[in-house]
Amino acid sequence: MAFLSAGERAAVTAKARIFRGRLLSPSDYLRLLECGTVGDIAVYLSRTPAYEAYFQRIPHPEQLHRGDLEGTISTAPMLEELPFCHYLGPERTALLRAWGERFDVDVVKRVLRMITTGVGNRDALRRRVASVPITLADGEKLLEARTLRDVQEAIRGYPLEKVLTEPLKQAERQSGAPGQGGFPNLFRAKMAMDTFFLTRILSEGGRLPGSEGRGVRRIFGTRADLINLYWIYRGRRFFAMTPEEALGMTLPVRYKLNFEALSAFAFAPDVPAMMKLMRESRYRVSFTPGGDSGAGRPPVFREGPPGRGEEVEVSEMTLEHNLYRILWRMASSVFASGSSGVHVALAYLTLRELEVKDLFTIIEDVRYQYDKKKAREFLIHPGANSFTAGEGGDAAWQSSR
Amino acid sequence: MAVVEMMGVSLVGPREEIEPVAAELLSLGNFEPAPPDFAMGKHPGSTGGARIATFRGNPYDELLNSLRAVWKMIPDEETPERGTPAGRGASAGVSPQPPSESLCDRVCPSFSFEEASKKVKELQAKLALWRERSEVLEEEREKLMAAGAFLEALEAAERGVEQTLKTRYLSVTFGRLNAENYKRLEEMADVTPLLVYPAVAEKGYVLAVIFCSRDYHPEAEKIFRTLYLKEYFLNDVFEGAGTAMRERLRERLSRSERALRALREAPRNYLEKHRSELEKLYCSVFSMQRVYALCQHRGELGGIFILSGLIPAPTLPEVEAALEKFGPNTLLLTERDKELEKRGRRLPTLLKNNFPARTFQEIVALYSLPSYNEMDPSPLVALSFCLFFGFMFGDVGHGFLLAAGAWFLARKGVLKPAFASVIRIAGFSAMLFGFLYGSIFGSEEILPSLWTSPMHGIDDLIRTSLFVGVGFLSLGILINIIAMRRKGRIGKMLFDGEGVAGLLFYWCAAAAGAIAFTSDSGVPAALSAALGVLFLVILFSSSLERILFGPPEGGEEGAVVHTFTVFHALLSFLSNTASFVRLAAFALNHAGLSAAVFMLSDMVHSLPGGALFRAAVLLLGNAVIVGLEGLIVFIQTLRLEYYEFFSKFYEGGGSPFRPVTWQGRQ
Repeated sequence: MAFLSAGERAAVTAKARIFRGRLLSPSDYLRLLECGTVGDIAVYLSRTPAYEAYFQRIPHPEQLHRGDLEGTISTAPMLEELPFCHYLGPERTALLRAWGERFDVDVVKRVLRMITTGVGNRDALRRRVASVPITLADGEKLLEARTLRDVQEAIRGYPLEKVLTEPLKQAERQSGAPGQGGFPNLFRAKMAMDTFFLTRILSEGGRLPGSEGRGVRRIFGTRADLINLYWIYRGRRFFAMTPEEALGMTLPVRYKLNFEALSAFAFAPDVPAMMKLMRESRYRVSFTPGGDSGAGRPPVFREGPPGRGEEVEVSEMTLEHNLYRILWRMASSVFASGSSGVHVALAYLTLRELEVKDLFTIIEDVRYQYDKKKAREFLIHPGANSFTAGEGGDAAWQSSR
Repeated sequence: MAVVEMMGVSLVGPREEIEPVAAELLSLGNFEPAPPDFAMGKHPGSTGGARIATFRGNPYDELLNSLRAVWKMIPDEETPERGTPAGRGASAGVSPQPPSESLCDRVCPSFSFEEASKKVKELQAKLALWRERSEVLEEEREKLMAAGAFLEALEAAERGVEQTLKTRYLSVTFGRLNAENYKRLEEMADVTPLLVYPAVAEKGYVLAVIFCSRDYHPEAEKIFRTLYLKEYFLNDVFEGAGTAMRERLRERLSRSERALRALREAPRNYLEKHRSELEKLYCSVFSMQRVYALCQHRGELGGIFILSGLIPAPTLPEVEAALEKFGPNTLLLTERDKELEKRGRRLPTLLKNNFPARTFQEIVALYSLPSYNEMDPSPLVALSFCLFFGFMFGDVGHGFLLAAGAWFLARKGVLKPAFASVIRIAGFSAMLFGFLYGSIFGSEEILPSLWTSPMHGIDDLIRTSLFVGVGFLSLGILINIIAMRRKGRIGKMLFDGEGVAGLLFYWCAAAAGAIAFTSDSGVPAALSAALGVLFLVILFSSSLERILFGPPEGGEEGAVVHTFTVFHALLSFLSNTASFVRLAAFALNHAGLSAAVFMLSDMVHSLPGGALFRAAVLLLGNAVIVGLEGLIVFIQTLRLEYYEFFSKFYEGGGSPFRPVTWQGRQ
């Protein structure tokens, strides 16, 4: 059957390459940062090949508010999964659907946020669900949910039930009876949903043979590694979690960072020791001061007390940015590898997702009139912040400040 | 060729009349609402500067959604998890359905908005209470079942309950977690002082017993929280149970299950008892939701409403009659389509055709709906589609199979009815051409041909297909000429490559081509001169138009662009005409394939069991011809329609007329 899937793989790869050609270029990012208002950003995006389709039903994009603009562009990575499905058989379609389920999870998160904070636009969510129905919960019940119990009812009998029922019950118990004040902490519920997404997609992707399976594991395995690394880092550094708690939070899926490596991070005697270990891992570029200064040259790490220009701590924002950059490079390398298959489509969708994150950053920067040079440095797309290029012309990684 | 004339209407009347009027308009099913400035744009200043209140959203949407959700909350029978193979295949069980919306009477509502909201809230509260009680009972049942599993595990390990639960240095935790998290717990057990023992593993969950020292228990609890372990505190279950522990557990479990069953039935029983009242509530809310779907673009000024929209002009008397009956104090203002277009309003398209043309509206809509002022090409498509398809697929037997197959697939719901009708009609056309070719199931020996046969009369077919091509292209240009005349572009109509000059050029070129190929004397000088003159007219058409009729609205294209456009248009005459040779080519292809099938069947006839093989080859071969070639011919026909024919005159881009009805927007 491998040769029958060759057609599927070729078709989806060709489509992914075409779509990739429509992603925003570095000059687009520059121009977006030069926009004066959120409306200007919307107008600019409405004229790009990548986003014009999403603005077709918006007669006056210049009047869009931030929330509406973000709502419009955030559907792109989700909706663009659909055209690929036309070319694919059931196995690969299930994998793309697993990607799409992540956005179903996003709908659930938004409903939870609306319930707990009272803020949010239910109509906008309804419109989104109407355009791409969710499969992880009963859409109608979910959109009508007013309490955490209603959400539990909406997921009953659906794949999310097993992962979310207990965290929601825990959250409810923490906040007391519903409606009696107290805001439930939904951090664990959200973590449970993220775990669900990655586990699902790696389990679907793992069934694919050859370079496709390897490609899927590479993209999402890397994502899982970065999440595990980040959660242990945050748990120990900011929330004073015990090693067991921090380790317990990690995803059950691992790629290059196996359980032993994660245990070593979690059970390091203190935070500096943990940071040292993380800097020696394969994802050290996220933590290393001075940045990735070009192909083939590993970053320098000195023994002993921090010297001039070298700092032990990395600010969280820069770390998060660096992690996304790793993901960006991983997704781009899939295209560079020349292999064909559904993993190329997933790589494209990843790039799209990261592009939307950059757009969110730009929107915030424009709203708050943030310094444009500084703003560029926090974009994920390396070409977009190439003004801070180091030697070799490549963009410098975010270092500590 | 009927694009129905539209008319703008505005209803202005007292607030009390809006609901009955809107309900009647819903029943008529001919009203597409528009924003209030639709009318006010015609009468600027008519409000004397007062602000008209406009509305967003339908107040009954949320109420109806809540009511539907309430119905869905009434539990059905246990079903497998959705999304699993079992779940996908399983039926949904017998769950109560809201009343069919088509049966909801179109009556004025029995409840006001406030009353309906109150009733829905009461219903939601009742269901929530039952659900809460169910959850408590379910928790208890789960706990009792877990206690049973724990007891069994202890018996297997030959330990007593008291011996296990009341230890001095050891902490025992019994709980449930999903299989994924259990794996993580096992991993954690490698790096922490926990001892994990799985008691029961089923349905994706694991009941596990976890041992650790009492000193470590607070840390262990943190781990349990991160893994979402649901802990069961069993001391109260086993307290004083003694030797009859099992029987007591069983008894408690059975009581709990009975109570749970009763509670699960409670919502259904309530629904059955109050069904008519609840259905009335649902129908009321549904009716009002539809009414306000129509009215949501209304404006209000004091106690007066303004509702604007579009209706098909022939239905105006019905609207007037409805107003007389339900809105005697409501004023009806009308505006004709030309006035609306002058004000820049874009009108939707509603097509009205007889049966054959109506069937082929789908083919036209696949390309694009005609815009309001454009001619509906559906009748022409009905004729040409049948002609082209029949020409290429002419065979009595294959045509019959195609028509029968389409009918069968439509009955099974595989094909949409409109599409199935297209294929059925195409099949009949193929049968007709089959008689003309004398072909039945690929054999040209059985029936006499009424015209010619593809295998023997290819010259006739090619000549005919070219003639058909010239005819249809000419028809397309004629339609374009009429369209340009309607738009008032006289200069373009006369001098353009797709106008009169272009049509004459095409005819002259076709005649010249025919003479050149059929006669030895060559193309007459007069014809060549005419071609030359017409070419120059077309090349300088924009200048001629500007000189004689003034510069066109919307500006002119540049000289270089215009030159290339002209060359493209003139060359396309040749390419489009040549394209029609495919009619003959595919007719021959069809005959050739059929002949190949017969040859193959003859070859296998000499083998042992030859008759059987022959029958199989003939059956399979004909199935392939009908399926594969039918698909190819269908695509080729669409290509001739969309590219060769439509490109001469058709723009499309129309938006469909979408009246609000009781079922929703059409």
